Formats: sequence, structure tokens, C-alpha cells
Amino acid sequence: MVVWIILSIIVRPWIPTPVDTVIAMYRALGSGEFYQDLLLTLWRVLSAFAGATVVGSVLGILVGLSRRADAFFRPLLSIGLAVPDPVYIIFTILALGIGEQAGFVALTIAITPFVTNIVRSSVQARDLTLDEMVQVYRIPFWEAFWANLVPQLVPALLTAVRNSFALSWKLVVVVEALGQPEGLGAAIFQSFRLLRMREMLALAILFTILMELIERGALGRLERRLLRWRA
Amino acid sequence: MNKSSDIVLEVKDLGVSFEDQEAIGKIDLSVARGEFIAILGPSGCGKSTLLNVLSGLLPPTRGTVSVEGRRMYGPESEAPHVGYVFQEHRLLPWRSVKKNLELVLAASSVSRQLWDDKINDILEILHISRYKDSWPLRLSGGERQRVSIARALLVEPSYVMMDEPFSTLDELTARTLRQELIDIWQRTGATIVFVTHSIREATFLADRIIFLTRGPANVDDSYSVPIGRPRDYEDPRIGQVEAEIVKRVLGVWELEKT
Repeated sequence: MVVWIILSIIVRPWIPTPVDTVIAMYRALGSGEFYQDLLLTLWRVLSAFAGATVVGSVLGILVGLSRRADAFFRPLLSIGLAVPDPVYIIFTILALGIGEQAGFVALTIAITPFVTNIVRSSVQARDLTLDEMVQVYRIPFWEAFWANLVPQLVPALLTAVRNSFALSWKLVVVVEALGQPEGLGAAIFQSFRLLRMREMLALAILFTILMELIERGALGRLERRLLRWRA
Repeated sequence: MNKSSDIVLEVKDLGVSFEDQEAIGKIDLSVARGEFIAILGPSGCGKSTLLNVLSGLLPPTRGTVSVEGRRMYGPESEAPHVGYVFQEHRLLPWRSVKKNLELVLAASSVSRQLWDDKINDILEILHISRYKDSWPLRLSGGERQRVSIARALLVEPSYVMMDEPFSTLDELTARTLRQELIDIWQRTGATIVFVTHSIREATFLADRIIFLTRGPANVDDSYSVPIGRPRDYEDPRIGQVEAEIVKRVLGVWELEKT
């Protein structure tokens, strides 16, 4: 806070004061436009997050279990992790235009390699002695998959979900700034273009607070529930 | 019981090699229904490999394994129902005790209507009824191993294999569990193949002890324990048999040279 106050004095008017920012946040919370943008952005975050988590988890399990799939996908994963996210976003917008679909596809492509990589590592590091137990007792494949494999992946899946969620909401703002007329990212970018720094910072802070609340509240609760068996 | 006419497990000319390394040389073995045999061999002699073959996990390179008269590892053969008590409990820690037991029951031939009664009975016998809904990680080592024994017996197995199941427990818990194992075995009539490298443990528990040579394993001898039941772990006769067996295996395991 002290640094912020000092910076707001030194870099005036580009960094607004905390008081000005709080007033701008209060105004934003009182406007209907903010909630419309928020809902739209939230929807985009959740759909991209869900898409990347599902696709990444399925791919991660496949690559972790199959040597062939590992040999095929591992180089692709390395490339996928190395490519800067804006490149995915720009190329997807160029290929699909600036509709809803482009944002969803760009985000899913950008986030999936992270999720895949985390899940793959966890599958390969699983407890093989439990696999033996399952074989000895002749547990059918899908029963063993849900009872033995998936629970072992829960800590990694939770990490993947957290990463996926954090990346989703950061990238959604970039996607909206680059290619969407509506949404909080677009509103932040619009404030930047008009040099309304108070509004820009107010929107960014409000959005960050909301995302943190979702992450700590919903994901934290999910984690406690799924790992309640730990001593 | 006429043991010779009711063979549950028969192993003939069994050999296992991994690439050019021989893990099991030649094993011939037969186990009668209700018999408690101990397999005794030095560390690294191939006992675990033998158990993997007997549990359906590893096809042998040579020889045959028949369970209840049916060949394992044949082109159309089905893996038999066996119970396995591992050195570590190998329970799924995210499933309660009851859910762990239900998982193996679902893959067995036991009718679902009987599950609850069978689970309650076996937990009662093993004195762990109160942990039915507990998470395995909240139990002590001995209690987890009891659950593991319950799991092995529940599936109505042709035989139960035990791979040094008490080696990770403290001595007092291990003694209690050995005694309880004998009680359960007598009560259920299960056929047990118990692998150990403790001569006293083998002498206390088994009807018959199979001695394996240093790896690659061959059957050196089969020895019927000449002590009636019930047995006491501190019985001097067990000490005498143990001393006799030590003499017998010293040469076979080539320990006299070292």
C-alpha cells in the first residue's frame, strides 16, 4: 500500500491513488455494465477452464499409460509448452475470426499442454504395487481405473485444475482485449485506450478478487473433500 | 481329510527366466486343500517371482501350474481366484475398510446379497469390526494387515498367498497376528502358501515347509513339521525343530562358506 501511494505520487497521473481506485471500484460495482461484462468473462473463463481440464486430463492419462501415446505426444507437448500464449490467441483469431469460438479454442489450446503434462507425470509416478494388487484380485479395467488410478491422480488433478483456472482467467482478459468487443478484458483495454487508468485498475482489482475467491472457496473446498482420507 | 486326493495347487517343472537370467530353476510342488505350507528360502532366491507366477501375474518360461485341476496360463484358461496378503497392506487409502473389501468382492464370484454378512463375519473374526468405516491410514500397521488378511479370505480363494506379511510389524504385534492367523486358518479351512525367511515363523505356522535353494530357486526338500497343534511360539520343541532346520539349510543356502 505504501509503495502504491508513493508510486501514485511519482508516476502521476498514470498510476491512480488508492482512494481514487476505491471510488472507481465502488462506481463499477454500482453499474449494470460491469455485471454484464463480468458474467460474460466468467462464462468464458469457466468454459475454457473446463474444456482444457477435461481434454488435458484425458490426454495426460492416455500419454501416462501408453508408451506409444507418450512417444507420439511428448514432442508435441514440449512444443505446446514452449509456444508463447499470445501466439495461440493471435493465430486462432486469424483462423476463426473474433467470435466466441475463437476465444474458447485459443484458450483451450493454450492451457491444455500444462494440464496434460501435470497429469502425465502423476500417472507415470503412480504406485505400481497397487496395480499389482488390482491384477491379483482381477478387478475389471474400468473399475480399477476409477477405484485405483483416478484417486491417485487427485492431487495432480487439483494442481492441474488450479493452474488451468489461473491461466484461464489471465488469458481470457488477453483474448478479450485482443479480439472481443465485450467482457471485462475488453472493458479494461477500452479504459487503457482512453487513458482512464482509475477505471482500468479498478476493474482489474475487482476481477482478481473475484477469481481469488472462487479459487480459494470452491477449489479449496473441493480439495479438502477429495483428500479427506489423508491421516 | 485326505490331502493327497484333493490337490488345490500343483506346480510341475516350473522355470522362469528374464532374458538370459534364470530366476527360478526347477520347482515341483503340490498343495492339498486346507494345507498350510511355508516356503522358506534365502533373500533373493526367487520367492517373489514364484508368488507372481502363482498369483497369475507372471507366465512361467517353462512348466505348468494347475489350480483345482485347471491349467493356468493356457490359451483359454482363466486366472484363478486367489487371495494375496502382501508384505505391505496395499489397501486403497482413499476407500474405507468396507469399500476396500467390496472392491474385491465385486470381482469375485460371491453373490452381492452375501457381501454384508461376509464382511461383518470376517471383520468380527479378525477383531476389527469397529474399523469397518475407517480410512486405512487411520489404522495401525497390525490393523491394516488384518484388513489385508480379511480381503484375501473374503473372495473365496482357491488358496491364499502370504508374502512375509508380518515382516514389517513389531514383534509383539507379529506374534499376536501369527496366532490369530492359525485360528482363522483352522476356522475357515483355507489353503495357505506362506512365504517367509524366518525359520521359527515357518515352524510355528506350517504343516509343511518347502525349502528353496539359493537363486535361481530349486526345491531342495519338503519337510513335515513334527509338532501337533495347538503350538506355542515359545515351545522348546519349536526351538529344536528350528535348530534342526538351520543345520539342514546352512549347507543348501551356502551360508557355511560366508
